[in-house]
Amino acid sequence: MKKIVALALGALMTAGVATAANAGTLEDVKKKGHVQCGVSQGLPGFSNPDDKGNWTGLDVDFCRAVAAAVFGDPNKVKFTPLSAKERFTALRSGEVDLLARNTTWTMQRDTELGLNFVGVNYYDGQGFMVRKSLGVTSALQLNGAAVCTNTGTTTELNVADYFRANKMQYEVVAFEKADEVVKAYDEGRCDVYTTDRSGLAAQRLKLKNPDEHVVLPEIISKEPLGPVVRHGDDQWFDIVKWTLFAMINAEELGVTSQNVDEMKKSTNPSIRRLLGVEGKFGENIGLTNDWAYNIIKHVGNYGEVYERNVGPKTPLGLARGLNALWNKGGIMYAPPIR
Amino acid sequence: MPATTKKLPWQPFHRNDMLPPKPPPPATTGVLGWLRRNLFSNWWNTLLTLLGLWFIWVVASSLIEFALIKAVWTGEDRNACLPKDGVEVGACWAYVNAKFNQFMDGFYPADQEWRYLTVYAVGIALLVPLLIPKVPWKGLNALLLFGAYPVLAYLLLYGAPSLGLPIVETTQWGGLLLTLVIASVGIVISLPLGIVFALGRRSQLPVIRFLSIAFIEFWRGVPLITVLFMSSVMLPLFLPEDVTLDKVVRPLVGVALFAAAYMAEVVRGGLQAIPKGQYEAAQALGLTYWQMMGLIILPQALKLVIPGIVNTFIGLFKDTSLVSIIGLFDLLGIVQTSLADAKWSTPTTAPTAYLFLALVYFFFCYGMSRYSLFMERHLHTGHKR
Amino acid sequence: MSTTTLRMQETSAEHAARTRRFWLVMALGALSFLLFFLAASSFYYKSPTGMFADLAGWLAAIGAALVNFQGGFLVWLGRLVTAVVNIAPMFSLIFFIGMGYRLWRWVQEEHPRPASANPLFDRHFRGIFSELVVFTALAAFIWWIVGNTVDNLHRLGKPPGFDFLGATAGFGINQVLFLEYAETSSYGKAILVGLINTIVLSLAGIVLATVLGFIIGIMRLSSNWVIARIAEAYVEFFRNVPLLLQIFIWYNAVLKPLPGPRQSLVVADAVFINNRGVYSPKPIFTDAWWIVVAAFVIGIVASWFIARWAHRRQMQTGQPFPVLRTALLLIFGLPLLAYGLVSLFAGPPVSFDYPELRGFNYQGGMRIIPEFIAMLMALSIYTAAFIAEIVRAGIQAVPHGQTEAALALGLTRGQKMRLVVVPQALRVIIPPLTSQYLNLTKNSSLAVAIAYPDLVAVGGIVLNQSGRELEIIALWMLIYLSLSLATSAFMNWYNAKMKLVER
Ligand SMILES: N[C@@H](CCC(=O)N[C@@H](CS)C(=O)NCC(=O)O)C(=O)O
Repeated sequence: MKKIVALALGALMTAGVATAANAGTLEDVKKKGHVQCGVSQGLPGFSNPDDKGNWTGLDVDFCRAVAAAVFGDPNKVKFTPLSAKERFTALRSGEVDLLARNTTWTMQRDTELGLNFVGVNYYDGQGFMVRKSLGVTSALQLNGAAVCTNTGTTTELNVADYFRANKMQYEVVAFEKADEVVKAYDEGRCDVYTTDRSGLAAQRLKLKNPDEHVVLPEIISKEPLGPVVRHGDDQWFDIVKWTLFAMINAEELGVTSQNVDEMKKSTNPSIRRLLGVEGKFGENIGLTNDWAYNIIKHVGNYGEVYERNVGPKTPLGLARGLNALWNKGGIMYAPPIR
Repeated sequence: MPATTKKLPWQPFHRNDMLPPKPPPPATTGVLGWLRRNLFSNWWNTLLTLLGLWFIWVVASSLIEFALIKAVWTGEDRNACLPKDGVEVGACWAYVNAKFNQFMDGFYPADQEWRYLTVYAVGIALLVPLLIPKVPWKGLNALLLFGAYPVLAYLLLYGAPSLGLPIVETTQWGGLLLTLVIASVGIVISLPLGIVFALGRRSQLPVIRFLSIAFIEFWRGVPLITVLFMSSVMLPLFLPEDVTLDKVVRPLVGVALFAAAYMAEVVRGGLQAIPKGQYEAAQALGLTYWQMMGLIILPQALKLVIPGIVNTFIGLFKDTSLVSIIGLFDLLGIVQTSLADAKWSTPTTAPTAYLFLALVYFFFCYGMSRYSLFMERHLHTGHKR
Repeated sequence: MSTTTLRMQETSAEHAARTRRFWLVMALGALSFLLFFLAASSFYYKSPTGMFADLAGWLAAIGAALVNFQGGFLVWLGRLVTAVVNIAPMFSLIFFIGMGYRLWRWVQEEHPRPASANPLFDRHFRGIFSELVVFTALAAFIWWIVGNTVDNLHRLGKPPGFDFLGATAGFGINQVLFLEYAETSSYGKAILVGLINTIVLSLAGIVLATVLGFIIGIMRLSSNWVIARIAEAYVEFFRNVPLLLQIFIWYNAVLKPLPGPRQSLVVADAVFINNRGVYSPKPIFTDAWWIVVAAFVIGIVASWFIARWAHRRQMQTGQPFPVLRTALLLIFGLPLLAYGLVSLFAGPPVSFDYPELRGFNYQGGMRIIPEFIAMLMALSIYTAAFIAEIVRAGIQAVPHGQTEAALALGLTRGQKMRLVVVPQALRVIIPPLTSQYLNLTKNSSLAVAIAYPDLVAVGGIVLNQSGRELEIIALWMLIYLSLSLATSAFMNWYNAKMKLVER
């Protein structure tokens, strides 16, 4: 009888199984025909599905860029929405090939959790949002407040540190789903909502009356958000890493999705290397030499992606700030392609 | 009057005329009698009745007021359901209306809706005759429902490019559709598995008995939510590195095994109730173990525990709502998510959504429990002595 | 002895057949052992001889783990389990030895002369054989899973172990009872806080659900039609709507719309109700409080003795004694008296700390967070529907003749209930009731959906911050399993005891 059970179990397990050879993530991805990308469950500007399930956002565009680099087609990507709590397990177990989910680069995650951060696609810091009617102007006035936040985040640790360091009392109400946090805050369960400042700007759009809330000036932590892959596959790590760098370099070199075809004729050696006119940079990481051309053509450079998703003209309205290029007053910087 | 009799020391009493008729006793039949017996038999009962009626009135009237009288039926966004001129409004059905498609199927592509509707239709067409005892051809019917139908449903729901049906990823499944898929697959797997483990637990072979007990007690001893966490987090770790399981299949494994353990206990109850003579008679006839179980014991035992089995089904159906905690968009999950939509956020949105959900779940669960009652009565008649 | 007699009658042809069977059977056993051995070796040890290769090393590791007490009990246990896992496949040897013995006995004694030379036609042999097959297949399957898991964990650079429980938690928890917990405490402590929250919630839920369930159950049997229908509607509604939905309803539709702290609902100027929870005055006990506690204890002890004495007296003389009333008087009267006396001579032994609105929220006093209230309401109302059905069935199971007999003996209605109906009904009620209690405890894990920090919710945070899925899930299951097994053990004991009473 037990054998039947074991067989049934085996059958069950094979029923929904998709095999991906462990030769390497790139091969797997090519065989599957798409990049499986872990994103948030809905954070406007970063990764957000509309009513029909079409995803948009900064992180989503990054996933598309990787698909463009690998396949020359930005649509060969599938998204897996993940809560903060599920994301690392999903990446480690191979459920997703890459995680682009406003995830903070920390040492523990980069080492102990067996992950590799490929870089930073948004420099952020943690902030607080409160109701205007409370009349609070500084985070130091928050003694005794109830604070809503997400479990499984750096946010929940930072807020503990901050209140402890400033000898203030607080009550933390930590939900697993971001939507629950917003709802709880909006309906008055908490006085304060804390998360990355970009997240505050995004989640604010989900409040009943966004204008009744303010973000306090304090930034209590460094939150370098970036895409992540798992340990143990250097080639894939390189591909994802250089996808990000190509987008940043393209902005620096003035290559946009509009002018990328003309730029192919450019005499600037940096541009020629970027677009694969010179050198075999693409082939060296297992792609075609026009990999970066495809990224820029189909998705755009970093600046375009930023403006389109979170920039001042979007509902989020985030100024470039730290995320401006290093030569424009920010710290966004990519190693050269050579 | 002749006074010939000896004088008695006392005066005997004798009636000279008839008593007037007493008023008839309070009616014990008819509407009035029933009322008197069941509602107003004494002051305490009368008080209880009045209190109860008052309670029913309060609940029913406020429910009707909220759900019907003050309800908002149409509207484009939350403005329709906000309090007007300080007057509270009731249920915001406009919101349910706007989200209805999502509630039904999640993100299933709109132009493919016919596919799951067909699956529903065929399912009903096969299930209903099976459930009505009078309809003949049960064997063929069951064969179709449990043999051919799952294949058809899979092909239609998931898709088969070779048949011209584009694939709809399970990530796009949601709402009531996903709830029904999880519940029915769980039901179909857990019953046979439960029977197997019940037999194992009653087996004479010590190793098999021990393994069955361990299995049953393990799953019954842990909360479903930890099982779901395990299946969503640990299953990938249990399998070789290069194998990944679909996000919907993973909790299904958990739900099915969990329900199977409860089912096993129900079936075991039935097996225990079968008199020993039945076993002995079967063995005396020279039947093998499987013949004895399949032809003599199980048919009787399962009949006995139909209510228990249906109760387990109901529990499983309710438990499917837990998959929303691990990030699937089943009916509860998708409604809960839609509540975060600022476009519809009003004070009555959440109550409306929950009322809607309660009605849907109640419809299915209550339906199942009524059916089991009916079946119980139907099957019982044969045994009455 | 019987063996010898049988053997003496055996012909040499029979003997040869038996020998053949013996070797056949032993070969089968050896073959399945070999299969199992290969599976365990290749899936788990990754080498054909892996199972015995480092036996001495593993035993030494177990010894070392046994005596290493650093990091607290849980860590020690975890270390031990991890060490034992290496030789776990060897435990299956016991099984194979046992099976070998059974096969041997089968050949020797039980069936010296089977109907057919082919052992596969023998029921006993088939039983043993199928057990072998099932066990081998299952064990191989398990080792396949364990091997995969260990592989995967090593690939991720996370060899399993419980040492991480000692690391600093770093996150806050908004309901900490009976323990000192701060952000600087360890993960292990955080999990303990979660466990206590689970237990407190379950106990409160059990009490409330029992009271409510008995009321509804008795209402269902009421001769009053309206009352019976109300109870029925209650049962049907709350049984047929998922618990998780009911939790959401309480939390999102009932508690969240409550006014904010500044517009709190105030009861008697001391209890404040708002969307942050319920605040009430907190008693602060002075040193003299122990006198009141002592009086309470004395009351209980005295009641017990009185009950014993009254019982004996009634047995001997037939005279009843109002035990309940006396006990109530003692248990509540004595402490009250003590309280009065202490207040008179030393000032009140208890004062109250009233909550007051300071800053954003009420500070001081006692507080129940809304997440707890939502869980408690949903759990107890849901479970009460099931308990009501159990109670109804239990009372209905007492034959009508019993009540008639009780009345015929001249017992009062109360005595009839207390002495005849309830004891018999309870025997039917208690086993399923216990399993409802267990269900309630397990269902309290749904707290994770609304941020009540129970074992699962806090464990989930630890899981996530430390990346230790395997360990945390194992811990959850272990804890809930031990709760369940303890309860079933109690239930078995209780059932056995009740059976004796019946005789
Ligand atoms: N940067 C944080 C992540 C913060 C986080 O998860 N934020 C929430 C609120 S802004 C979020 O992204 N929620 C979206 C979701 O859960 O789908 C971290 O890496 O720990």
